[in-house]
Amino acid sequence: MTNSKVSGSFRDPSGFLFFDDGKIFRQVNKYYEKNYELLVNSGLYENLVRNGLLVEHKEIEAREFSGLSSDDQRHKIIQPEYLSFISYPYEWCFSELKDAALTTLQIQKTALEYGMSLKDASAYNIQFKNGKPLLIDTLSFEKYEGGKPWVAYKQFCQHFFSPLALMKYRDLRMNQLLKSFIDGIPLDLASKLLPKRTHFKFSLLTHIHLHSKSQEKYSDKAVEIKSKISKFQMLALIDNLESFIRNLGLDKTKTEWGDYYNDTNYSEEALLDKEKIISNFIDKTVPKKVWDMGANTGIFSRIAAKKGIHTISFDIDPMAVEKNYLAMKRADEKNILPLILDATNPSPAIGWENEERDSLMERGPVDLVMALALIHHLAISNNTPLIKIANFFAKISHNLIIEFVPKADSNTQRLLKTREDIFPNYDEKHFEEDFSNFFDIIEKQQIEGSTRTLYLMKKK
Amino acid sequence: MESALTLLGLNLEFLYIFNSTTMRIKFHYNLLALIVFYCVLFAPDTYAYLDAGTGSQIIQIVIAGSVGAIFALKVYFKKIKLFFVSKFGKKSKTELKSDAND
Repeated sequence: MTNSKVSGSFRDPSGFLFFDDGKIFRQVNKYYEKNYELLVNSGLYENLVRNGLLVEHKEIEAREFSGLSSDDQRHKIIQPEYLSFISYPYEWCFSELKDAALTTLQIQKTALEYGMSLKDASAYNIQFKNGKPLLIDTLSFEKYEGGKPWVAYKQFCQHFFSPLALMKYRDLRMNQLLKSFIDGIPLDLASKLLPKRTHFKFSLLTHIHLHSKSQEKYSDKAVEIKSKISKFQMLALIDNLESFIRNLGLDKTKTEWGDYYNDTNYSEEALLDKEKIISNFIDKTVPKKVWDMGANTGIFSRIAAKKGIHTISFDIDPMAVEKNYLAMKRADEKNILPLILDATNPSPAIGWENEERDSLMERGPVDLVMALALIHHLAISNNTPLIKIANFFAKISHNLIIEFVPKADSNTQRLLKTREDIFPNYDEKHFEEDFSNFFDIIEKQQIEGSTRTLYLMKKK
Repeated sequence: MESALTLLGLNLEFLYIFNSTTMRIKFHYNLLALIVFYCVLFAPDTYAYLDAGTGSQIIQIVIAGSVGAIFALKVYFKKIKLFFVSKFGKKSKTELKSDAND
């Protein structure tokens, strides 16, 4: 296996991530030596790991890594714990972003107790493990110097505060702006997009509107900052951010598919049969990882998750993902991660040379993909030919459980109601033919009491 | 600017103590926000080094300075609450026990 630096970790001179023989390592540079040793020796590392706030790592004895040239910048090599999936803030629902923000603030408060401070507050440094957010960048801490402002405050506002405020006060889909702005939503933009009434809320007025004005005012001026900020004041600032974010809740907005399972066209019998077939198909493939595409609130994702399989539960609807995540939290589920994804336009690769954040395709393929009650949306709403749909699934999966929803189905009829039927080949025969180009059909079963059929396929 | 805010913080501390209804706190909170706004717009230009986060650092100092007093009160009341909970919380448990014995 080749060795390569992870392209998303080039900005920080403190060190970098690299792969060696399929495993991930982090080089700690001499530049960061003092801070790294302080993190470990102060007890901060131990505290954060114990509380599930920081990724655990082990120090690796000095050795040669194939392909990584010997480096006089090297202080240590550490091996962080493996995470089964890397997700990005534009894939998180409101409460995931909120929990990631609160975790970042909790880490900063803990760091201050140990005489350290976060030097960055990037949302990309937070990942979900066992259903809980944690910091994955061990090199994010620096010695706290009394009187100095929090250097990551601006980044925190851009990465967390702005998108949360926009999602709450403008539209849940506003987090999609994070795809365009890799360093968080610029505050002048957030200020313009937020409703006028947000000027009357102290935290929004100060952290976004006035913050933006202040940035504008000092953007081209040389200023020596003489004022200091005491530790107490910094804790007050963090408390202000924290209380505001903690109290941010969503109105019970209904989105298109938000209450899908409450008024579905499945009978209880059909639903039970569908679950039984899916469970049986999963057992036949013995996957370690599952992606459930179009998962809605994740009822079928949970069939896999309950078997101890790490399951990503993707859906296009931010409200469905929100419900899924809140249900996951309530039940303290560890194997499921609900994420926002539009299967017709999956997360792209972004950043420097399009290599900082991976596209969805680059994060696959996985052992098993489930595409339940999805194909009619891809084929009919998005005009995608069946052969292209088969090609897409072949790229992201080794095995596939797919539900064919025929034209006679009331949900397909609903999609066709408002448009011309230009899909003469949308039937089971053509579906099987086209998918057979990429997959072997292992098994097919009609769902009792419905017109739909479930297929288990294996990639050729 | 800094000393003005410190003074302001002190003044507000008095206001909070004497006007404890939510409405009044909200009113003074907004008043405080307006004064912060004023401070930002009319902050004096000084000299020396420039960096991209200058505006962010300045507003941070202003906000941190202005929420300091509120945070102090919050911590203070938390301590008072804890004190009473520990005092009377225990007492009420004992009372409950004695009630149960009756």
